Amino acid sequence: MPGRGGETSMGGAGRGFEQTHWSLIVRAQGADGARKQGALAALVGEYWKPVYCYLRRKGYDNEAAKDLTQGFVADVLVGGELVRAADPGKGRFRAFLLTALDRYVASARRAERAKKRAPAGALVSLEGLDGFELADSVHDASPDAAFDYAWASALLDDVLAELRAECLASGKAAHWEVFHGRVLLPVFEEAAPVPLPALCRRLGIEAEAKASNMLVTAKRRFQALLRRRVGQSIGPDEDPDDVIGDLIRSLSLARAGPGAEPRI
Amino acid sequence: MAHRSTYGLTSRQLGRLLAIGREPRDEGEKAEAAGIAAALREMLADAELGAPLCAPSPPLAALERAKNHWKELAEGGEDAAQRAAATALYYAAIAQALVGCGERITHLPAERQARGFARLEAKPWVPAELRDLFRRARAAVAVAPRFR
Repeated sequence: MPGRGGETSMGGAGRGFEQTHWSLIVRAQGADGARKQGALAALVGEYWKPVYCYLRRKGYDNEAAKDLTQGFVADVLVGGELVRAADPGKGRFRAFLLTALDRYVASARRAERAKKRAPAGALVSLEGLDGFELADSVHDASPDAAFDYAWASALLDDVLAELRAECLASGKAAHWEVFHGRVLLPVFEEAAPVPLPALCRRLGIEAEAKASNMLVTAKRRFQALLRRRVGQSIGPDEDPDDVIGDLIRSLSLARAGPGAEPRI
Repeated sequence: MAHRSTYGLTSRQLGRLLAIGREPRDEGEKAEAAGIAAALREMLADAELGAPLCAPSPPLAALERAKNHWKELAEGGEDAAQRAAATALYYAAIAQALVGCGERITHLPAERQARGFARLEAKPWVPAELRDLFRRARAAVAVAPRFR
């Protein structure tokens, strides 16, 4: 089963036209409301949480940040202002989006409009917005770092879901399990990796060397998916590794503030 | 086994996952880098369009010619190595104009120039003289208001 982006199997070739955030916006130009919302759904899904976190760290309380997030998505992202101002030559989509967000927030009239619209909640449905909260990790972070935290999380969630789906669809569920036990579990649980012999026994893999190869394959695919995903948000003359490096640096700053890390 | 969302992890945990996604690339990619380095050496050897980029005080007109030429090749080069090398030289022309002539020859915003210089400075296939040029250009663009 082909994955997103035209991949034919885990790690296989066959990539078709790569959609970037810029190309999504270009495609949305001239479309009507519903079609425009459809074209921009991926952007909305990826960016509303970072927008909310950014606004919280700008000083808005939970309700005001949610209203502004809803308003920004409805008026600027889907509403057309962002589409009209889009210029792929401007480089990173993140910077472009944050400039538009700052402008939006600076307009008191628009903020008022957003507040009025929010209770109706009709234009754009942001799944999960109601129960969403600022993560403990960025309670003391700068607005930029809070945005980056939420964006990195959204990227990683998307990439991990894609990797898992690819593994399952291509009959490589054991690859996912090995990757989960050796890479994800140690990060999520801050625990030691599951020992290879234990993984081999549990998954019926005959040799540890084979499990190691499976791990390398899954890890490479994770890296490729992450680079591709990040590449969708930048201009043609930029390197995804640089953006990932910037995100890592931003996350290290986010935890530099007092109390930024939750107690375990 | 399913996995849960990364939202709620600490910043350090997210950083660890990103770092795993950015680990050094494999042999195929190293070979690609070698290909870019070779293309870059060949282009730099061009007396009219390459040499001015490393000359102590090059004529501005030569840098503008070089910038336009490498930009065209960066967008329409035959293969990825050629396009990557041409992109580096496009930025090198801009950098040399800033550093060697004190002039700005691009409409790129300062932030993008600085980011481009920094990115190229970090590439293993960029030769030392260009790396030094990018480093000095990054400093110049950061402090001089008229370059912004």
